[in-house]
Amino acid sequence: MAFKTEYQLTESFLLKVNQLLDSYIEYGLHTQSEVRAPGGIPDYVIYRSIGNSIHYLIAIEFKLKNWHRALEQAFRYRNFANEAYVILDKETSNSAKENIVLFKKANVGLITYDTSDSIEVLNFPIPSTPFSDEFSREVASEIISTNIRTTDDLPFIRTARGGYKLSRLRQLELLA
Amino acid sequence: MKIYHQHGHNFVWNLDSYTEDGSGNGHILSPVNIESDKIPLRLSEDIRKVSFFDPQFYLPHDAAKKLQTYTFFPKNVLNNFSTSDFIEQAYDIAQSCLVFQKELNFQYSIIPTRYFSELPENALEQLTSIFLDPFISEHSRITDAPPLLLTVIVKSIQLEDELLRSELITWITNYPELRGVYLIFDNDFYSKQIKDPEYLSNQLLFIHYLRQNGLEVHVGYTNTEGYLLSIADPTSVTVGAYENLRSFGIQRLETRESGTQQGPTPRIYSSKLFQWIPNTSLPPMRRLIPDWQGLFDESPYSEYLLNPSSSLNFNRKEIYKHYFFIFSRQAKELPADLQTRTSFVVEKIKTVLENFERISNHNVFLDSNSDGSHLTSWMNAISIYNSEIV
Repeated sequence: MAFKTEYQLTESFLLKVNQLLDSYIEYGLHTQSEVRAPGGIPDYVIYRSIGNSIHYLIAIEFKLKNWHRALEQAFRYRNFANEAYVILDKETSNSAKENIVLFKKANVGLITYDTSDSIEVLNFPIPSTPFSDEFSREVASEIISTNIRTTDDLPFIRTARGGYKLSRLRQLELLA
Repeated sequence: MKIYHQHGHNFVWNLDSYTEDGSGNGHILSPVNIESDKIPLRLSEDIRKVSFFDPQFYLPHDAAKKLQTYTFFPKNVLNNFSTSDFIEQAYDIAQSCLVFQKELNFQYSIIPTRYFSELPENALEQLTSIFLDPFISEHSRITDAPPLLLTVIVKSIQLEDELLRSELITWITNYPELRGVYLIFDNDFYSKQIKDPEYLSNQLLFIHYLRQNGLEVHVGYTNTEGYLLSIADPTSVTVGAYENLRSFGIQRLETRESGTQQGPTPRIYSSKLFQWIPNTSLPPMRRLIPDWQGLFDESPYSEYLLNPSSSLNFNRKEIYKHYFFIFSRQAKELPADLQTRTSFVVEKIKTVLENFERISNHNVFLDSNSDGSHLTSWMNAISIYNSEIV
């Protein structure tokens, strides 16, 4: 059965993600919805921070339909994220699956989810540093509500290795 | 093909671009954005001589913003807006409006028009009685008045429907007093670029027919497609700063309550892509495409625009002055001979399509408002147009 609204898909999926994240809370994992960012508002970000310093950032876009628009948005999130994902309702994801090569080219993750709690990961992106230092600083300032100067160190901009703990998210399918 | 600056908010950028960079050939003034007494102060006579004044009677009952300062604007003259009241005053309005344009030494005398959201059956009759007849008559009584241009708003239906199109062309070409037309295409496409090849080819044909009848054709509110339209030999197309000056919309001429709106994503025009590229696409281009700078043009503003540390927002004048500079240069490069020009434009489009392919091959994703999808429509429009005029 398909999700009726994007909100339903989002809330349901995040419940699942949060179960996983809760067990790693001591590693400084945080989440935030609807983060204002240059070129779009990711539905959800997951990040690891120590003090005021962000060490890794994942941006997520949920969509009931129009997977191509979701892919375009998620690709833009790579300006400030180490990984970007599109999460679709499994019922309406066939066209996206047929075009999985585009997700691979864009290095954007693709996950489908359905009302029976089934999660399917079709593409995991390769962690990378964000495309833009400037946009990353803007987003980091938005998340931690502190103005970040160009001289401040932001580990997630200079290395994609900070995602070690978040790599546990790749166990998502095991939760299903 | 000449380039006129379509004035609107912050028209000083257009004036600076013209005087400092030599961009464009003249200006189309927008009275909703400038008080009547400020015109001679802000625009020198030299500039006025190569420019024209759009009276903007589109919504005659709404003297929005600075239109209040024009004594001949219908709202400032009429007590009510019945057709009979309008007709009664039409000759006085025409006389004052024409004298105003003549005294300021503009290049043309513009006959205004009004905007119809839905085209009434008697639209042309109405326009004849309240604008065309009075302006032509009063124009003949003014010594040395600049030549007449008739403002014509072309609705999509008038392009698509052969009968309506023919009726409109017949109406326009029926008046030997007219030097030409100030043409405004009114459409409601959702995309930033026009991607309908039928619509584009109909625009080309419409311009072509008017030119065949010996009329000057000045096309207002054009975006990048102004380059494509060049193959139908319009006298001029326009460059405008904000998006509402590159596509006609009545909203900017309405009285509205001001509210806060989030500004659009800043975009940089590239003649190598015939497209406005959002600044959010620059970081992946920088990272993934070797020699990415080659996809953009050099101008006095390009260094600032392409510098990642520039805090670009859609209100930066550099964005628009860059566009005026580059698009004017593109227009100057067009061959004079129309057949050669068409082949030249086709070759340019092919090169641009190759550039988009290169972008895609480097795994940079552009959204449908920033990619090259409009260019296949341009190619199709050219084919349709060529098959119709041969």
